[in-house]
Amino acid sequence: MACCADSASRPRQWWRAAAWALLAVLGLAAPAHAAGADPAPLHLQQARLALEPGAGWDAPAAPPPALLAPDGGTAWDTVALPHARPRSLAAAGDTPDAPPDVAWYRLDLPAGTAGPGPFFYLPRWQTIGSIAVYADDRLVYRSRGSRVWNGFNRPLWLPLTEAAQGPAPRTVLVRMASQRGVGGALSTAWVGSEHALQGRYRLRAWLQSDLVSIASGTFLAIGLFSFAVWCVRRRETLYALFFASAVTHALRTLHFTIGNEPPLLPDALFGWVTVNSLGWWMACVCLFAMRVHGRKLPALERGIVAVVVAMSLATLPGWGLRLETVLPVLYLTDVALAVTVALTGIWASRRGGTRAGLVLSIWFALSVPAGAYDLLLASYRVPIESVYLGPYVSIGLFSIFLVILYQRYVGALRSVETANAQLEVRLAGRERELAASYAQLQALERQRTLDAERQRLMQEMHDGIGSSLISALRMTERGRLQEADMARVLRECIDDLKLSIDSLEHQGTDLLSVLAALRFRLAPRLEAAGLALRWRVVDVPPLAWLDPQSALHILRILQEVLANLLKHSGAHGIEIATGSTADGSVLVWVRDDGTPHRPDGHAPAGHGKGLANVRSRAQALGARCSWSVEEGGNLFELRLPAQGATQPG
Amino acid sequence: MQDHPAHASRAPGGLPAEAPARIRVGTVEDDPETREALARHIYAQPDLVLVLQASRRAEALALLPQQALDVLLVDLGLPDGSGLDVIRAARAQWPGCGVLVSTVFGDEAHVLPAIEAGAMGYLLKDSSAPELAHEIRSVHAGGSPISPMVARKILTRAVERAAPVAAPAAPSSIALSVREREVLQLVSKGFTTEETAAALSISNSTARTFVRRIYAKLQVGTRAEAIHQAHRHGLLRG
Repeated sequence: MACCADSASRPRQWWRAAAWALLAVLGLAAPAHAAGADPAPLHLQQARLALEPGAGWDAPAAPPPALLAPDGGTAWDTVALPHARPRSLAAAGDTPDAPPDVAWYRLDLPAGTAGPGPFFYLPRWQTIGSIAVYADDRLVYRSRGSRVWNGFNRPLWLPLTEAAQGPAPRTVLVRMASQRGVGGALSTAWVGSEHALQGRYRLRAWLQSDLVSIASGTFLAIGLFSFAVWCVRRRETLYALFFASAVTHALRTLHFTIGNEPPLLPDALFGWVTVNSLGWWMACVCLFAMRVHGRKLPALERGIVAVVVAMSLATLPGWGLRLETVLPVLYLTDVALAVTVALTGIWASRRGGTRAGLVLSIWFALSVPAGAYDLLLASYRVPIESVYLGPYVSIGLFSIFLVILYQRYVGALRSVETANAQLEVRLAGRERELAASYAQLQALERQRTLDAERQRLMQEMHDGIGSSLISALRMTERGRLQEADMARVLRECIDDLKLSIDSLEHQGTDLLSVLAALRFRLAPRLEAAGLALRWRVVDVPPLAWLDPQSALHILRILQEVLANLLKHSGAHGIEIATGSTADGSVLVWVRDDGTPHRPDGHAPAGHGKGLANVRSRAQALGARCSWSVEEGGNLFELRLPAQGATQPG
Repeated sequence: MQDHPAHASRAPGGLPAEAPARIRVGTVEDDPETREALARHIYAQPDLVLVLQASRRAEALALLPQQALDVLLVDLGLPDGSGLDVIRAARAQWPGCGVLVSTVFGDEAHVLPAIEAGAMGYLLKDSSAPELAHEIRSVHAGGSPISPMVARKILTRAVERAAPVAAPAAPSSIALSVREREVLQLVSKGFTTEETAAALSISNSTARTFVRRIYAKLQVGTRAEAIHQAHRHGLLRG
């Protein structure tokens, strides 16, 4: 599958890019190294060594004169460089307070071998103590830290003359004051022009400490980023563990990277941190690896953390055991821890089939031989000019960490995208369902409307035309219906039908359109009966409730009222008018000049059934009907509400 | 229903010399009772002459070219097709002929398509004899009747078009003059043509010619739409 091929090829590309980047960085240093060709620098591979009993820690402003005398006074041993004075692990308990062992290395520069203004380049030195360098009788360098915080891993790069072109000194003296019994070591040395030597110096400074400090600072920065991620994503423990690893690693590499500056920590605390941070770091790596390969080994996890915590507590300054006395035990424990972490990691990753876990654990396994090598280097069993390998192993390890986190990060982004896409698909599905159910509802609603309309029409046919035709039929059957009556009944039926049709066609909210239809239909009938119709309608507010059914109610009410007038009032003129009130009610008046009927508020005599019909229709509309007597006639008023009845019909 | 052959439908005793003085009327109606009632009413009027009577669409189309007409009454629901075809044919054959669509209800669903096809008004089937004669004379004189419902419908079309929308006007929309709109508004509120004329201080016949002009616009709109559709379907060239 495409995604698998993708994830497999990505780390490979990453590694290739990383390799090229490393080559490019090294390539910057290489030309500088090759450039120093002109006056061949002096490579000092031999020195004379003398011990100065009873000397103090502080380097004097000038070396004791006896040391500079050409031959007499001092018993010099000739030693080959690099030279190491062995560390005795079983040193006396009072060594920190005892006066130091002071060793003088004398490097003679044969006359004419070094040009003017030479530089002194010392690739490495190491001891628990301090170092000072003299050009002839002039002090040119002294380490300023403490015995432990002394910048031993930084190459020395010193101008041997005050003036840029001053004459070269005859002798270089290196004074090494060491804590009793810990020994010390000195590499070969170089004297030559700055131009000739700086390439070598820079490459070594880069390999020995600059690269390590840059890497450790970079990991610390990424660690802070990881920590920030973890702060908001507490379930992603990997990010927190990366941060912890970066911090412990920085603490661990501190003593490789510090220069010639005053100590930040008391020696005891600094030593404690330096030694124990290795254990802390390994614990972090172990927890990280377990979360990568995913196999739960809680007993191992707890055991490792317990051992590390126990070691740290046992060696806590001013409280636990003296660090120096248990140092071999601590380092052996660290080796055991490293072996355990590496082996269980490899085993679990193979079982779980996690490539990342396997790569991580195998690389971590490298830290066992590297650690052993570093331990030998630290105890001067390996030539002092070698480089500590531990930091390089951890740089590789951090790179693997980063690849793992990168894959998780990218994977998380991808799964978010996938989830979003799925969400969109589901959303679209839900939208379709909603649209379908809405359409269904609409269809139901339409059906309901149609049913209601059909029912209404049925009712109208039944009560209106149907019953008129039936009564006409009955009268005809009994021979009581004259031809004129027959025509009248049929005309009434047609009128009924026309009004029903008009109500069906009614649209909008304007009452006047309903009244116009009424006039259009009934005016011929009124005129035929000799009634003059005055049309006095004015515009009225729209009635939102005026649907076809309400329109038909209004038409029927007025039809009935007009039919009554025709039959009973004996009027000659009719006026139809409209008006409205302040509260939005709409009024329809029908005036006639016929004989006044019963007193105010009472319906005129006549069709009981017809009037009941009027009242029930008015009630359905939420309207009110009233009849009153006016001067010279009668007035019918239909008052329609601004808001329709709650349940019209 | 060929019980009224073409020759029999000529006005009996109608001499060609008299014809121009009288209004030549034709009827297309499938119901025999109604047809006879119409014929009776027309015969009763001295200034009217019935020159064409048909009961089917095919019959009407065949008879139309044979006799010049002043007024034609057409029922839409013919047994062999729509009366709309007869209206179109009559207008094409005799452009000066006033066509009235004969309808039971005068509802806009029947009247408006007829007007768009070329009719100049409608005639209610239950009209009395005097009303019938009046409508025939009126349409011959250039006037057209209008019902409030039709007036309202035409107004809504015009209003739709007047809306300030950039979209092309609907094909069925028409442009009305202020006067025409006033006429339609009054009619739609139930005022008769006479009352409308009085309210606008114009004569009755002027009000009726306004209506005729409005109907003509409806026909123009329809014709324009027909041409547009024909172009779209490649039926017309150029």
